[in-house]
Amino acid sequence: MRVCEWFDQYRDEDLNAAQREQFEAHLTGCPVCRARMALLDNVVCALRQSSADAPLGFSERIARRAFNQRKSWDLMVVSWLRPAPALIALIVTLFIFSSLWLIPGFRQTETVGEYEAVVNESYGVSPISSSGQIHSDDDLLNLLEQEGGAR
Amino acid sequence: MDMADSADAALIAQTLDGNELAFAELVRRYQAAVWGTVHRILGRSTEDEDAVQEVFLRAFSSLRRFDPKYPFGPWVLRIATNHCIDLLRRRKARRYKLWTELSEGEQQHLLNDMSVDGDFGSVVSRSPETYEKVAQALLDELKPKYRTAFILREVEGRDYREVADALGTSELAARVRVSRARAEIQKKFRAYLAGAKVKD
Repeated sequence: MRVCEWFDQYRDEDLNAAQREQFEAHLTGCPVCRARMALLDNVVCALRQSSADAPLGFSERIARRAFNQRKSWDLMVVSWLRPAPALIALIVTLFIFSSLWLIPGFRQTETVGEYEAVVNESYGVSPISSSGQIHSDDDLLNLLEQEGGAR
Repeated sequence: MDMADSADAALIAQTLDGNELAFAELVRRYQAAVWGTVHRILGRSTEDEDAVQEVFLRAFSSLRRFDPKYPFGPWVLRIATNHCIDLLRRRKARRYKLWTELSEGEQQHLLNDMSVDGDFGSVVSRSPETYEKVAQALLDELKPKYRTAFILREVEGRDYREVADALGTSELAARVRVSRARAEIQKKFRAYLAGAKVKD
């Protein structure tokens, strides 16, 4: 392993005494590692200089706001909903789809519906639907019997 | 559990019983640490107050789920870092305009100072806000998780266990993030330096 690769371990103080000594000797002769080390030290130094303090009365304001929010009914509802948004979305989706399923127009499971679809697909325009004669499976059976008889 | 932790546990219990002053005291104990971390991670003093408020409000609304067997400090720090990472991800489009605000000569001067090997402390003390801006500009395009790991480890001097806890990751992943952040800062610095030289 090249000594340059000990850079992170040196910064994290993970090297043993002998390795640390070796790396420090390397630093004096390696301008790349030295510049890298100086840059990080300086960035850290600049960031540590910055200070920020909470304004006076901050903790009391936060506590008041927190307790006022807890009293608010709508927030209680929101906080109750928050832990399970995915579950709620799933329930709502299932509810919507099951409602659609119950609407008669969304289901064409009757034989007459399937027959009309096949005829439409085969002929482009359905002679049956245009005649307005078929409204139930019984009508369809009559028509099929008539067609069988004609052939 | 040490004395500070048992005092925190008592304040938490009183807060849950509806004692507003107890929560104010809990906030007072941790506001400096949380404010410092939020300020360093976000790098924008204008956003600090809102962000810190949100951290404590989130802590308050989750207080019933907090296990008082564990210390309160790392728990609230984790809320703070998660919130900061969310904010950093959202503001991706808004970046520092530091380099367009400064003349080319000033840019070159600041960059040279940042690479000085020696007593940088006395250099930065002449104009701490400017050098902080330069440092923040170097951090600004880091991924939020690298930036946060770097601040916690390098600037705040936390050990890797604490960094890992705050980030909700393993110690090894925390080490990798800090190492990547160091390498990215170096890369960004070279890119800025190259840009400044090209303009000269």
